[in-house]
Amino acid sequence: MAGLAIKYRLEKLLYISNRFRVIPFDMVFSSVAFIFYFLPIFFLVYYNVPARFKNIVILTGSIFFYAWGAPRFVIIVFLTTMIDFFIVRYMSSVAEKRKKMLLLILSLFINLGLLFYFKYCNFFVENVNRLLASTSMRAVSWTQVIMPIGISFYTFETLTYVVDVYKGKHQPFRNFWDYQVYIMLFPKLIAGPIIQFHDFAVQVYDHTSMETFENRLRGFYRFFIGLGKKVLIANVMGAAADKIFAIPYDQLSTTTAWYGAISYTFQIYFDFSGYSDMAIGLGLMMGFRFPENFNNPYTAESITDFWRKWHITLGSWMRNYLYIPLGGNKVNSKARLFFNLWLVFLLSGLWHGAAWGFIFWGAYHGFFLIIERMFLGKWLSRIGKLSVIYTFPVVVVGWVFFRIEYLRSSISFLGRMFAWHPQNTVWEPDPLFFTTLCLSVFFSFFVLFPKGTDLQQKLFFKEHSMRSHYVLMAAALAICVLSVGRITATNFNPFIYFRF
Amino acid sequence: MGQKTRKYLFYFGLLFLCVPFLQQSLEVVKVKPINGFLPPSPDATFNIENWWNEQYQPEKTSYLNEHFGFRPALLRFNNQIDYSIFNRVNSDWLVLSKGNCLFFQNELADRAGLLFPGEDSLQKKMMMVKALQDTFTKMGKLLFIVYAPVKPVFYPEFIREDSLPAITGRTNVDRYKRLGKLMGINQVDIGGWFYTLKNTSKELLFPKQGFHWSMYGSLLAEDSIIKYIELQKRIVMPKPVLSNLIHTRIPRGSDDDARKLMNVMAQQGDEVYTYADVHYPHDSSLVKPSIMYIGDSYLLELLTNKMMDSCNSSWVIWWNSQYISNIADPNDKSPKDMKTYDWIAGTKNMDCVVLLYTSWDLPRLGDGFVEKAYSYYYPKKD
Repeated sequence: MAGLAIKYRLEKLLYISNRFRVIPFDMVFSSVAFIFYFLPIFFLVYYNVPARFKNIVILTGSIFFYAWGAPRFVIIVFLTTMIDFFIVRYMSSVAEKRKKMLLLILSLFINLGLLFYFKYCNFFVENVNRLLASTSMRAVSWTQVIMPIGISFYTFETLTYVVDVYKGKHQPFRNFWDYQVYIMLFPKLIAGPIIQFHDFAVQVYDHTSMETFENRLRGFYRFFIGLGKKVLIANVMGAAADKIFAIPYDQLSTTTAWYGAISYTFQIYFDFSGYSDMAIGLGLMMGFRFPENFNNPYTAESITDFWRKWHITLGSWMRNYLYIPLGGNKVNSKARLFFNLWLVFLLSGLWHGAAWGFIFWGAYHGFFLIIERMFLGKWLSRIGKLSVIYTFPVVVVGWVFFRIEYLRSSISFLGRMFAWHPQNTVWEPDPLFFTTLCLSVFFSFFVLFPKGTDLQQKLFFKEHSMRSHYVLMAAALAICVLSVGRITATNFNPFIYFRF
Repeated sequence: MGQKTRKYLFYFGLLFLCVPFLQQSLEVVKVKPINGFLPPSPDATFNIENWWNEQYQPEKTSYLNEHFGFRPALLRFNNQIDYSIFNRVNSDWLVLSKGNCLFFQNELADRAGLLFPGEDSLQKKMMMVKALQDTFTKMGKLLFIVYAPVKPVFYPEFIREDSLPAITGRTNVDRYKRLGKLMGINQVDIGGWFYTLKNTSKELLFPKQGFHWSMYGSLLAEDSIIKYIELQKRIVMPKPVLSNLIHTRIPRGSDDDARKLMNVMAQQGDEVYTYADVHYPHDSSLVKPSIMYIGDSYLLELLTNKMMDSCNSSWVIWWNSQYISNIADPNDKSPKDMKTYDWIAGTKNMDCVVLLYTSWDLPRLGDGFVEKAYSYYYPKKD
């Protein structure tokens, strides 16, 4: 009988491994193991050690956290960060520009090389083999590589470290363990936010002074708000999206196809923003001030605006470390400007995953960015908030490519959305779906109204009165109970973005 | 003052998160366990190798997920919300239908004709049963099939249109019964009889929130089986005598086993259950045959009614579910594996073999006994 339970569990792990080619991670924030074991034990230890030992506790906890899911890859992260640290330290001590540049290139080569190997080699070899097959040549033999969780996130952070030090934006860390705290800090380790070195450097040393009880409480509430977004909204939308996208597309009615696309739209937003909220909340409980990663992106008035509100830290990274070095807005020709924009978004798509669907998704957004720059932006600015009617459907359509990952299938699905196919019974929404959909719509768009913006500001960014604290604590614990009940009933709920 | 209050409030929140761990360790509050079939995950044993090979972590995580304090209460709370507000049941096995009626997924699939194993399989099986029946008859033994009632056939008015798969064919019992009749196989259709009683019986025969016939219904079934054996063997057996009938809205035993699988906190029931004191007359002139019972969980109701102990001089039950493969013999309580059990010795002193199945279980009619017995009595010629 015990064998059956393990078999059942291993089958699910195998499914996730095969689907995403990542190691399944057992300690996600929305798990019982994290909420009722890791989190209370970690913070009870953390709050009871003297300030000078807190970073050690953070590092130990972070290594434990990552090693729970991927013990072997802790070694890889550790070794690569060690190499990086010493290269950067040497680079900062060197005066000669050429030598500095060579060390920069060496560090970039190592980091990007590892990212390419773990994340893109499978895709690269697949496509090479497809090409070889079309010319009847022998395929390249290759053993599939499994991707360490969070590699895209921490690689980008190591890149900010080396570039910021190279440019003189900030001195490198004094010691290796401080650098490890920056990279391995568990709230942001596996799915961001991507924190640029110059934004974080001081915090490694000053965060203990920011651990006021006000901040701890705000962090606590933020964590549970994120948990509620993930479990109570994203998972429900995700279950519907999974069912609909699993139906053969030729059986989908137009309505069902739109339900699928919109469900996924809300799933990915609440999943990822929920995770970010949890990360920000956990960081705040330790006195860290992480940057915001989402700002109600579905209320964006253009795709340009969308990218100021969606995955803000990725957009910021792309701007500072790719777009601006390519010339940014200061290039000589519009053609060059548009090319840079398009390239940045192509690479943003590629960052999300090694599949043509992601690349196309990035190029799709790049295309809209360009036409907004050319003429559309001016028109949209005349209609103000109403331009959500343009932005939201464009984003929804883009998510179809993102979800399906394969171009041809994405086009088939879009075909069902945009050509009329009458309603059938292959999938029908239930009351839970409709209720959650209404909640999703409300929480995605409530800031379109002034009261909504005020509420958000008060909730996340202002100090609370004691009365507010009592209400918020009660709400946080209620969300905890509801969410854990839901987790228990549906015992498998991985985050989407950790596969990146 | 504000800082102190914030401090206490924060630690209150953190302590709240420690409560499940404390409950798991100390078990301060007694919590009713969850009902269900899935075996719990064992605790993982830590060693460096298991941890390095990522075997320890998923096992430990599964264990923690299933054993943290107040888990049953949280699960019930979640399920209650889903049931009360969203009218849904969190079980892969159950379908909540109209009138608060719960169907088993397999029942609906059988009702739609989706669980039929195919004509070849049906004919082969029934041919073997017929051959065995004839052989046993020559040996003075009785073999017969008992068909339990089919809930979606009993309660068609409660089936939601969207819960029944599009294909609607014949149930397994229809097909097996028809072929059995043509081939002259001994069979007792308790289900068919129950359908005729449905509108006239004052007592509940099949609870909406149970998987099986009601306890009262099982007594009627028991009576039918006994009368059939009496007729065939020309004997007079002890039969159940009911007294002190009570009618109550509170279910007992397995009358609400489907509802229990919902794992909710509270659920309104609108049925009236009938329970009675059952005794079997002690009369040395009554004959108690030895019977081998092979079947599914409907047999358990008869065991609970003490039919086997009271009406049989000796008995054996073969019961093969997804998780348990068991042979129950009150005279020999040592563990027995169906695959290695010496069924030949087991049937030697038996007067009857009863095959009792519900419709969707019919493809496994005999649970291996039919095939083994047939290959013994009718070996393949080389």
